[in-house]
Amino acid sequence: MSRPTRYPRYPRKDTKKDIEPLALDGSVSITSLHPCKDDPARVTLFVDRRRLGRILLNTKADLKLEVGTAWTRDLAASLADELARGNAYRAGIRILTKRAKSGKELRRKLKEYGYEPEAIAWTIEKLTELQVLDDENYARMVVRNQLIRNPAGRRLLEGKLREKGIEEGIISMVLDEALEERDVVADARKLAQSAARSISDRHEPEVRIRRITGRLARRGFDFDVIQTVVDELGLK
Amino acid sequence: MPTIGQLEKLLALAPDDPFVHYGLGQELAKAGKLNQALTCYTKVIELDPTYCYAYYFKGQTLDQLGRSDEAKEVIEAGIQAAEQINDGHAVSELMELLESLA
Repeated sequence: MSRPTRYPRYPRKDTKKDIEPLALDGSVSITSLHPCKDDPARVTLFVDRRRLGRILLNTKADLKLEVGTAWTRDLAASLADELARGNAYRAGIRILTKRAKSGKELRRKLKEYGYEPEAIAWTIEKLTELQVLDDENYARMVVRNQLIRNPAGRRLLEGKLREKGIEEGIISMVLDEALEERDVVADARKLAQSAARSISDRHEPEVRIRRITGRLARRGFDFDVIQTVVDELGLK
Repeated sequence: MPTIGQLEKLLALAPDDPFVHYGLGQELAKAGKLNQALTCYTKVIELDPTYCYAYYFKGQTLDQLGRSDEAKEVIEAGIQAAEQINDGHAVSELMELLESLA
């Protein structure tokens, strides 16, 4: 039986575009200020029964907000930044629930969803401070997963981490750490042997060597390592 | 995928978000921690009774735990919830699961 979509309620891409904007002339009003169970310092603001996001209790008090307060242009403007930050933050948590990401990847995703740059920057800073966004650990996880799946050389791993927006300093540190414990020649040998088995011996030795070399190079092994293990195969 | 530890950290930041409970449930189930996964799916349904796929996985988990009668009840409730929000795709997947348990 087919497995259903794992995350059917993933935050939809910029739903703001699908919804009629709220009137700002005071014809609609605040319909609920619901306490947030996970954050006693905030309430969730609903206007015309539409959830706009979370605001601080202090903001509620400062602006004297209550159910029935008219939703005006001035009020919307004074709450805009706070609501944008809160919404980007919640979206950030949901994105990270679905898939671990680097700071740069999360920034890209939130931008794609239409969140404001200032709210995105605040969210990244906040999630980093709370240690749920951690490029160093994320890089370690990427490397670990890559090496579990298939032997790989430094160049391939560097490329993967760069693609994910990890800083060069972190890349070097994480790869030094991960590859220090590994025997790169043994990894390359394992891959070369498996490649040799999969390439028919009806081919000329030069063709087999070329293909094995290509496979190892694509997995990021250095030329001297490739040369060593290919020589060991004794195909010439 | 995020690890169970990472998801638990995220859940601490958003304990009222059914999406995070759902994500944690999925990873716990994958790790074979079925009772804990069941708790997560139950919480998702409590927070959002229209979250159809939580019924699907709760039903599946109950069945894996040998509680097939409860599983059927949960899946039937899921079908009702899916019909309520006009999610035809979820209805058909839940029906398929129900038939596979019958």
